[in-house]
Amino acid sequence: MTLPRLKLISLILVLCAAMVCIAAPLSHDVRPGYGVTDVKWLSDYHQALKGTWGDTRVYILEGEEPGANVLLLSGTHTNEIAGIFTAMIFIEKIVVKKGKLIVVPWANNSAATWGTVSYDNPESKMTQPNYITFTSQSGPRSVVVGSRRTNPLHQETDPATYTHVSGVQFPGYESRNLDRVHPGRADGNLTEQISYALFELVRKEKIDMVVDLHEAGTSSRLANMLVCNPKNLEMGAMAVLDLEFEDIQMKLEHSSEEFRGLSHREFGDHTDALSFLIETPNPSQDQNVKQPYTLDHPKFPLWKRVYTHLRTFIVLCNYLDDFVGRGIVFENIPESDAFESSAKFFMIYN
Amino acid sequence: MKRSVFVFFVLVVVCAVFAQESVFEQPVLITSAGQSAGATMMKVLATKAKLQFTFDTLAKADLLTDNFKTIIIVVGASSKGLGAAGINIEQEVQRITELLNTAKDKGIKVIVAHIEGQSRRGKTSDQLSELAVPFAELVIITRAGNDDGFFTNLCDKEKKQLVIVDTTSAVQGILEKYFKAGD
Repeated sequence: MTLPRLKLISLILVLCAAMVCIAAPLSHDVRPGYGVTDVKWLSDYHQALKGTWGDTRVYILEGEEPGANVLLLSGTHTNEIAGIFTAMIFIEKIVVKKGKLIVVPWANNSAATWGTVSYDNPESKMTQPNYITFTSQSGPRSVVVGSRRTNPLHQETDPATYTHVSGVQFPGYESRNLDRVHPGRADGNLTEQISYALFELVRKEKIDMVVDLHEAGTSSRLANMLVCNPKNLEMGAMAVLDLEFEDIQMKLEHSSEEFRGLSHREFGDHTDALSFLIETPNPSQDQNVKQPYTLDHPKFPLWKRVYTHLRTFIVLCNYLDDFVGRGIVFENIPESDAFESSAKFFMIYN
Repeated sequence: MKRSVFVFFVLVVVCAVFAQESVFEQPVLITSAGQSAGATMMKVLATKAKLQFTFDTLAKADLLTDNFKTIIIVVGASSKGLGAAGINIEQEVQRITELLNTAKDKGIKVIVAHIEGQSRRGKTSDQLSELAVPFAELVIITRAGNDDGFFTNLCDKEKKQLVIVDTTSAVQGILEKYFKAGD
């Protein structure tokens, strides 16, 4: 082997080691508003995450008056962008008057570090992540569009079969899917540790309700669905009926007994929190679609999907008083007329 | 003379209209056929309509005492719901069949509802509807679940009264109307 080739190989090895060992978590262009009272790291709830690609920012919006504690998750799958844009509205615009809202906009921050041109077999065609660029009130901005699963470079090689803590088995690549590994393991792989940290957050912050924001293909059975842990199905039914009066049609479903690892199932089963998952229809998740994200679409524009997430979450929050005896009160919720076009929609953000 | 004849015919028409519409009494048993989330939606709607009811998604025939005057069966097959209940579709069909036959024997009126739209249609859900509708005095559905005319045709064939609403929320008003008439 020639000396230059040896140097090159050494350099690549050093870079790879650096990516894995001395990672700084991916940072995002989030511009917190007056409602944010504290910013933490997910590793504050599970030290082992510190210095890994799985660490991520945790935004706290605490009201003056005590009330319900709510966790809003997005970016469990970082290509499902409507949830992330919804979470950003809470961080940038909304003020909590009563209760506490905790927002984790990129729940799987490692998944945000890579993109793909293949939705069906993403790891076969890894690329740099994509960025949505737009203009908000304070000028040009960008939001990353990542992937569904943890970056393969950030976690050991996938096993042939992934065995969930319940004993249920999945294909090996699902060991990097945050929404298949809940409730995680304290000493597990990176994705399991992210999950474990989120569960620690729920326990330590005494969270009353967890809502996880997702998207699905437009023809998927899941599109426009509110999935509920069985213990909070009735609250979900009330929300779905209320949303009809806002012209938002959501299907109601309860968690499967057999299909484990999903947030709505495991947060509800392993903690005291009520647990919901909201799905909106994302054209970029249809089969054979090549574009990584969809902003403007005649039926499924981003602003409409974000509005569905926003209103569904708010309506669920409205029922907390009835179901847990503590409420949460928001101020500065954007009005519906801000959700009429992309241009108007992006001006919501700071 | 002409005026009294006119009033007589108006009264006949009004009576005929009321005679066509079933009336229902309380207490009510709300159960599921297929274990989907629709039954829980009906529970919420019945609460809003202030009905006096018992909610039991797995109600068996022996529950049908004289306490119940009406059963509302909410049709919707869900593999998740069946799994959560620890039963399979054959056991569910058997439970519903026994429940309906007992209701018929005891003279308990049956309302069949399908309120989850197109997403809760499919072979198994349709089989459950075909099982339950012949026992019904009233069938309530949302328009989105009848795109192919399945319920229209089924109710025509079985000569059942069909009420179609645009939204699930509108079922509340239907319950208020039919149970108010019965009280």
